[in-house]
Amino acid sequence: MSIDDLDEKERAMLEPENPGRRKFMLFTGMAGVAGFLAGSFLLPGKLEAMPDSKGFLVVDLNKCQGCGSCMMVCSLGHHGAASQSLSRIQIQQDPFANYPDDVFMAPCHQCEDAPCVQACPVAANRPAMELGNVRMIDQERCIGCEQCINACQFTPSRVQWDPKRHKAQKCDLCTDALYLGEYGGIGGTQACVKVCPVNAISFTIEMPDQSREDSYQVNLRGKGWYARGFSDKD
Amino acid sequence: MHRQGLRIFLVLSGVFVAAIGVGYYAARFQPTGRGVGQAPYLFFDHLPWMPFVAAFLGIILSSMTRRVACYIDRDGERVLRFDFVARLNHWLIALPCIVVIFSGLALGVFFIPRLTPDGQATAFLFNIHFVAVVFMLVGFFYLLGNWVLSPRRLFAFIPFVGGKANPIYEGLIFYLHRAGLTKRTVHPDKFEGSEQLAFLMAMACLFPLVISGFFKVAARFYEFPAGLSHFMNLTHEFFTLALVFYLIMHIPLTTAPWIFAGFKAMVGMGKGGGGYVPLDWAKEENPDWIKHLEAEGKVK
Repeated sequence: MSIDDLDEKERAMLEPENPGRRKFMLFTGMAGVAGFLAGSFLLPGKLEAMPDSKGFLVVDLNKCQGCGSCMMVCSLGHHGAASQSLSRIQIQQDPFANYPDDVFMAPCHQCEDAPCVQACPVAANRPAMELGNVRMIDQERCIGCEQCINACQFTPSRVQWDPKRHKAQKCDLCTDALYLGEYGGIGGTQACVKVCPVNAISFTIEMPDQSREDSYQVNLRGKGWYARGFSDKD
Repeated sequence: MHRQGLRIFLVLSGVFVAAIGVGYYAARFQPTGRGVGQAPYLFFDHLPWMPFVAAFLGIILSSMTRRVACYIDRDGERVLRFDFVARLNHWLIALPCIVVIFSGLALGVFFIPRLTPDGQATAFLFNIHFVAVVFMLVGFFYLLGNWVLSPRRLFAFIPFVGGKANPIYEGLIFYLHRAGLTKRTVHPDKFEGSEQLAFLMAMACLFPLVISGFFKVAARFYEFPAGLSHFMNLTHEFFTLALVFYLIMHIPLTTAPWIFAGFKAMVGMGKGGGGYVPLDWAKEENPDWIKHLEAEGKVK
């Protein structure tokens, strides 16, 4: 709306210009806009271009027996307690389905553009830059809003609710497994990989194909598997 | 509604709706096809500088608009209560604020669970929240800019200064008189006591909300101590609920029958169009205001 739109009376009632203050406001505003626009290009792009994780868990569902050892050792390593609810790797079993569809193992994918990281309103869930960019939840920062749990597009969600601490947790490749007794994380031990009695879980540094969920399901069967006459069906 | 005002309202609404539309598709955006690891495009993550720029745009806007002083139009038997800038400013905060509140509540506040069924809906709501926040920040900083340019208008809202009556007493008597419980009456200035208190309450909610909101956005690209982040989150949520309670009072009390002429003026539907209230109504509701306008010679 310009001054021309005002009628004669309104124009007569226009408040004084106050040019000095007006100029100050204009320059302050323009400086602010310019500053933030320039800053947006200079900001560290840690969230806009999320660095890839340098490690991933892959599984062989044909080998998994559903024993739950990985779940137990996961909660033991992270919480010092044997609890399937606190495990960051989950196994689902369907007693009515036929092999190999009767067991489903759900490890975190350490996604390329992790939605759980994007959803976190306080940047508690983020790639740990100094630890191989593993997507980790900083328990000190987490406010328990559950955005990340719902943001994970897989079922079951690869981010779990810790009912004791009222915070979210997820697989960190054992980077922060206080009770593990060994050096964990990328370059170290992954408890589930180590204890799986049938070697159905493996650690890899090669990022699986991000356009297919089943790219995390690989063939970990060796010669012995076939020598014993087990199925080679994938 | 005033034609110019309607035009601006339609343009801004169009931009708002278009931005929401982009937010919807952004929430569904999957850069390399369906599959794992595809994150929705969250405005808060990818455009975290935008709310800050919006604040400065509001300041620029304030430097570009001129205020018209309130005056009595004798021929038209009307009084200019809200000039165009006041109306634009009010609605630029109010309408996005409602969207911000609804989207914020739907995303979960304190004990109110999040109402979204999946991640995509959450992302869409976050994008709606973002768009409305940007609009609201333009409005809020436009308001601050206008106060810097014309502090007199700010003082009109603030109780206890300039020999004003005790706002609590004035508000109490005003409503008791309305309810027919006392014959005593008060002679309010432009804003009666309860309106001045309501203004203080609105600002007491908005300032912490805006500051904590900036912290939440800045946490996307700057690492604050965890305790500070937590405190800011709690502040944001607490004052969201406080603002909801404020609006529950504000909306009915500003559209009540006795003040409806004021509401029509704010919408731009008052007598003769934009921002005017009938002179007789103003004399009855805000007698001291009319006296002051006459004393200052603001009569045309």
